[in-house]
Amino acid sequence: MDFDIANVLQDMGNAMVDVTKTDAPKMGKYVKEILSKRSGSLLRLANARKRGEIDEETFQEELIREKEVMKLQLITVKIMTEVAVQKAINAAIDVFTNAVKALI
Amino acid sequence: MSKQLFSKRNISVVALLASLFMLSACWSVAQRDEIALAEVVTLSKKVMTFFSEMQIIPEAEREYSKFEAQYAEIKGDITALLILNRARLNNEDTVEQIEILSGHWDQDIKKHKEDNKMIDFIIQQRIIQYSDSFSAIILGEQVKEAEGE
Repeated sequence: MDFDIANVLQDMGNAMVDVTKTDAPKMGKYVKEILSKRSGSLLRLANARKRGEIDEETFQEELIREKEVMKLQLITVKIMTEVAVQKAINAAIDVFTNAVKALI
Repeated sequence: MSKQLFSKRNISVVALLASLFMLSACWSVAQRDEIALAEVVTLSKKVMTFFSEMQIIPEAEREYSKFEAQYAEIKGDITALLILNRARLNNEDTVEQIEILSGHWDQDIKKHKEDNKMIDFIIQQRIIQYSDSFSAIILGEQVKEAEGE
């Protein structure tokens, strides 16, 4: 049995694409959720300042806090991306390993 | 023969495979830790309950001293969670998230102590922000692959 590297490479690529296809929409949905939540929070903050419920100092402190919460949320997107890349690499290597095993 | 062996295509294939194997060896995200996950869920309940109970108390009666013990207890829980997560391999991202959370808790203690009051708007903001922060940490842990997955 010949080892058809072209086919194996294509299968490896397909395996990587399959993993990405599953994970990418989840990431997109979560990024949208982050933006929607933070913009809602910023709007409440702006309204509270307008009504005089909070002073300028508190407003500025809360703005920094909002930025940090967003950073914390975006780290989750980074984790999701890293996990997806790791899964894609593993899927490709599994295809290659199985193709080699089939030869032996 | 050697011309065929060292063709551009073969070299590219070998380079691609070598890169993939190298990436798989060094690109590593921490595995999911069910204990750490359960600890975050427990802590999130504690923090949410803390602010929900504070909200019920009339604004004029929200002196810092009334909440000091609970602030300290939750601070201890956050520190323990940080220690647990720092001990895990390739877990820098989650550690960074908990460090941000810990910084926010310290700011809340300091601010409440200085002002000796807590208005409804800030409690509401804290409930939303901590809820979003904990949800992000929990999701970040859930997406990690379990051992053997």
